[in-house]
Amino acid sequence: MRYKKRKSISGFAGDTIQYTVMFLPMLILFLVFSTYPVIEGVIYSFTDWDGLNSNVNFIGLRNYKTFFHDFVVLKPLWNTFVYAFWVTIIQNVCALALALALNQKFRTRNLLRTLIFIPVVLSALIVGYLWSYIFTEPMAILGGRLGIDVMKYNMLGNKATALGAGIFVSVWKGVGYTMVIYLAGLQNINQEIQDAALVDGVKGFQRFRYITFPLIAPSFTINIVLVMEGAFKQFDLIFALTGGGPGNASELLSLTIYRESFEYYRAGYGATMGVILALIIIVLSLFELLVLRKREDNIE
Amino acid sequence: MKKKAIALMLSVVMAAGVFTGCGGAGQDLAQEDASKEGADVQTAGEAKDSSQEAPKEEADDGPITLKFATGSSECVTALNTIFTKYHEENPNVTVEVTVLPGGVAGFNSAMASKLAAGDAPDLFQYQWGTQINAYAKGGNLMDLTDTGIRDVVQDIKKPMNVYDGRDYAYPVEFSLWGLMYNTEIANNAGVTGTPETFDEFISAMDKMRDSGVEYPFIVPAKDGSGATGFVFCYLHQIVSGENPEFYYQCCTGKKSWDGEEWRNLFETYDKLLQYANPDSLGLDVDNALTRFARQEGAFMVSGPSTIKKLEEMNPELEGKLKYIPFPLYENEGDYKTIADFDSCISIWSGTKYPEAAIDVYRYLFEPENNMLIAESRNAVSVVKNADTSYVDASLQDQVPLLDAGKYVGYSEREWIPGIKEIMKTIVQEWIGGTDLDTTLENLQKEHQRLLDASPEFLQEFEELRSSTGE
Repeated sequence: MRYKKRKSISGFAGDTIQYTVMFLPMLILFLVFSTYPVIEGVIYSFTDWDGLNSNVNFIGLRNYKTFFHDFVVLKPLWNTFVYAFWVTIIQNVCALALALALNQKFRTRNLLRTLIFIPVVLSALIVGYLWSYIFTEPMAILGGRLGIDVMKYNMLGNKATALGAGIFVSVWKGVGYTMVIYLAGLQNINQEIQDAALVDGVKGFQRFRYITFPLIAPSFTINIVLVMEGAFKQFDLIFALTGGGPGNASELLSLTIYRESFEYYRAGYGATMGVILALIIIVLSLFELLVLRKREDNIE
Repeated sequence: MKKKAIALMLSVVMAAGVFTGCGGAGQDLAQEDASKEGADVQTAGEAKDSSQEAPKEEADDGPITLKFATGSSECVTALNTIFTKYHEENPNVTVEVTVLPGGVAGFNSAMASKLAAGDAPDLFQYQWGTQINAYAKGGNLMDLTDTGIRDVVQDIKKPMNVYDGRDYAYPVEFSLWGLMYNTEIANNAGVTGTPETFDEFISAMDKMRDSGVEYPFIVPAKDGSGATGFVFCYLHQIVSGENPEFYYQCCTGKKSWDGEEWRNLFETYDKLLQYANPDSLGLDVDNALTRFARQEGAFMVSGPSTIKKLEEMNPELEGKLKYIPFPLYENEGDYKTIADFDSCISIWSGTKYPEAAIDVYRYLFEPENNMLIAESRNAVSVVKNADTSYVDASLQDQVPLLDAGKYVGYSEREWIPGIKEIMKTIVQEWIGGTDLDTTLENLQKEHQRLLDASPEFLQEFEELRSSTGE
């Protein structure tokens, strides 16, 4: 506060200019590569553009009306919600467990942290193709030897298990990233609080429930929101792993957008689906942020 | 309040990622008409006119690099050989070959985004079919009518390369479609000769099964193309083979996708799946080929170029493989194969070097060059009076059928774009356990959905039919 009082008006102006200049390149890039495509996407959602032809007609809300009566959308929409729900839950539970374990002091913890983080830096396509092979060959052979039919006949080729397999691979790939955020949260907990809890006789799960978990609330909030929105936008991993199949058993809405836009040449309708998916993500993210922030405030 | 505002901003930024992946269409919308529903931003006529204007050559004598995209990886070696020779004769022109993987659907998807972004390859090789008209209608292809290639290639019975009276593509090769057949497994099982009727086919598989081959028919249904391999054989040979009007009748309501033809098709497929690997939905084409190369099965639907790939994977198979028509007929006298133009080449209307592109195009249709491409796909050259002596031994049994005119064409190439991909999904669903009535109902609904979304398709289809005299 005292520092602010000492600043002259010209100093404020100088800072403002300096900050603006530093901020400007990022702002321009953001406008060009993010805002502009968004606006164009929204405009195209009101057209019948086929993605190839330069002939584009504005058709008002027809695409939006179609979406809400389109039987083709139901299954991918349902799959997307199921996928996002389970990925968010499982990835956060696993990451938190790993973070708690790897926050202890033991010799190989850094090595284990690195190993768990490696899948995060791999391309989603590579991970998809890699696991596609694993499910097709080694896991199928193992399933055959163990007499487990579900594994023997390739889980990716079974309508009942394909989406589950996709959730598993997605968690395998992303758990390291989520774990790192939890680890950062855990390392920020004041040791004095932990020690005071120990003196008071709080141990084990009780300590986790009443001390650790409330104190990593900001990490929990950001992880829940990031994992959920990432899962809703998932495309490349599932594309490489199952291609949405068998049939459309593991088809997510992002794959339907791709198919409608580029395979069925209904780019306008694909853009409409994109707008609706974006709205779903915005609403759910907002809801989560508001609920979880309120929880954080209550803890404070 | 501040927190809420930040939360809202963050949510919007995160959700924006949904668009940025596929955004950037390349065409600008006319803002003045933006609010008017149904208003034409740019008319089809304008688009067509702009496509017919030959773009100006950017450099006459300077170095020119042309890009050639293909979806057929097996052609790459042949194409590089041809373009190296072309470069020796025209040192200022280099042609770079790129493969767009992912089969027909993958190629079309990649091309759609490249065309929309105004960054398409100068020349491209893709599937002969309604796709040509889809590209031409958007003003994406160069008019090739005056290149003289039409006089060089065989007669085009179904002019799917024609849009508004002009040629926009020419076929590259005449290809077959059918079954790969391992004669060694057949001989070991006591099967003599090639099965020509459906009963002989079933009997051959029974004998193979008795001899210890658990799954003689390999079906890689994880890939849509593998799931529908049989479906298209049946459609070409039986459904459209016996009634060439079938698809038109489906479009006009006289026939339907849930009618007896489709029901018979699926019932026949069901009989065959008794002999197929039970993990078909989890088996992709690459892994299926590995199984076929390991001689774990004797039959598999695939293109003829696969024969060469298999012989490379397992040299012991050389001379033991045959490429045969799918034995679907009841009587030997009906035995026909499937043969038609398979791929074609077009020039992008936006190429910076139209003259060089046309020159390269003509070069590709010189007999020895066209033969190289055809040979790489184990197919027959389309250039008139081309030498066919190079045709692989595995295909030799089919030559008499072709000579006798006992073949049918690819019926689905004139169908509405997108329907093949939908069929692949629905067939996978059916293999996965969806009942036949629901499957047929879904086929009918999905086809109607595509027709409703492209009301102009039927008119174009009728024009194509009238030009072929059907």
